[in-house]
Amino acid sequence: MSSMENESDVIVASEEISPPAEPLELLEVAAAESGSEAGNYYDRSRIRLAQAGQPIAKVLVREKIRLGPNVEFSPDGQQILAKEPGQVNWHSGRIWVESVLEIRGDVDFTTGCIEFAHDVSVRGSVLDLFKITSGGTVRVGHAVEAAHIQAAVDLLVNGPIVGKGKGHCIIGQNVHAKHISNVTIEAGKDVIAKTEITHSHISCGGKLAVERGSLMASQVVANGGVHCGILGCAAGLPMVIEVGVDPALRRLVSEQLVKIEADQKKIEKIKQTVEPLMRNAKGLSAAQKEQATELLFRASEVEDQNRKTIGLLRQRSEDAASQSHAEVHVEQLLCAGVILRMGGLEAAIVAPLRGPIKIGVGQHRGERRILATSQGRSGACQPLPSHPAVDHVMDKLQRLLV
Amino acid sequence: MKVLLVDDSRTMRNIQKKVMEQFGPMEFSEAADGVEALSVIAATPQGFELILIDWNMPHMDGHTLVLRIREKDKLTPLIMVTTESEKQRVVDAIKAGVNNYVIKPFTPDQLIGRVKQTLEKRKAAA
Repeated sequence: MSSMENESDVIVASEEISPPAEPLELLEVAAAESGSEAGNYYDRSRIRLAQAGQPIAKVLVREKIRLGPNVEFSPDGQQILAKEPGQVNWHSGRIWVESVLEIRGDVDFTTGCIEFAHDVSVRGSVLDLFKITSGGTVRVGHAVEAAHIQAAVDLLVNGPIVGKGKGHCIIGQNVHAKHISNVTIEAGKDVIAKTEITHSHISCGGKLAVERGSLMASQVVANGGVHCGILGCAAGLPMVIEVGVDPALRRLVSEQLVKIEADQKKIEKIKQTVEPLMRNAKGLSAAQKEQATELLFRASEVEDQNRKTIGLLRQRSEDAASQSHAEVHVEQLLCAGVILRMGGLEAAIVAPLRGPIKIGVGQHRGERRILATSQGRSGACQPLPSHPAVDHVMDKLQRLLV
Repeated sequence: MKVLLVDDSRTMRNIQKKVMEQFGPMEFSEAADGVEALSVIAATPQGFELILIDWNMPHMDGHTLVLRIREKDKLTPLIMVTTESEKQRVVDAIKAGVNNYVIKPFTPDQLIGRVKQTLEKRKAAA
């Protein structure tokens, strides 16, 4: 018996066309960027994200569709377009685009990595090796694990950031978390942890604070200073705390200095070539004169470019200086093994110091020293054995700006 | 400001453009020789506020071009930008009607200085 003779396979044609079950058909809006079969499973986003102006659905029964925020019908009425970038939602006949991306659970294989132009809110955790890139603030309800977070504004984590040696957060402004461990953080402004920071590399343009606990076994560069309960650990694990230097500025200077120096050499070379020609301009052919003009113009262009770069560095340096606060405040205990760098000086702590103390640079018997000043009743000031710490990059910047 | 650049070297015209842009928003027209320059001028009834002219060009040289422009237009500032540095050439160009003279090789600052000088004189005379 052939399959056509089987009753269950026979399709009975009807003259009546039943209306579609759904009044619209959602289109694959994010498939092009992140749905590639060739990509790895971490990169495959399962979130339906649309760009402004992008068609997000095909209209089947227009009367049954209610438009929510940030969507509109296309001019021909055949499609629904996103008016703003965001997450496409469709529920009970209503379609809308949410400009805050909300993940109800974890960022894991069910969501894939997230790339979103605005704020991202994750109710759960961001699991190992997943990545969030946001043009706004990233809020996380539980933990950030060994993940990569990049946010233009803040990273606000209710729980901990537990990097397991692989986590990396690049944040435009502030980072707040319960505690921070084994992670690299680069923040434009403040990094604030409630209870503890351990085994981390942290650089920030503002201050670093551990509100009620210890900062230990970490490398820190904080332009706006450090405030913590306990600094270092009883085991004397080495750690370096550098304050009053903007790490982003240092990186920028380090990159730009190479270019500026190369350009200066180029200008020098052009001048050396053109100068003898200019001294003997009358003896030059017309072609040589035009060539000399070209060289002079090129030198002038490079000089202009260098001037602009130096101007930018000057501006950034002034901005960083306005937020700079080269002080360390320790409420309870400053442990041995901590190396402090500030104001071009370095001091190694060889014996624990009781808090509350403030450490900063000042004059002691006519010499610039790192001083530990008790914030208790005594107000005693103790100079720490300090020696110059040369910062070649920032020194070069200072010479350049002079 | 509407500026006409007349030079057979495209590189030189580009240099002049970049230098002139320091004066603010500019609208440039270009010509590679005197003949082309005359047709650009004829096709621009509102005229130019400044014309930079090279001396040595094919078809029609800069000196002839200046004479032809001055037959009809005594006001538009003309600057000769050239490798010709002999005194007699400078005198010839001024007699023909140029308002200023820039000798190649020049630095961008030198060209800026001459353009500024020329425009200020024109403004004062107006």
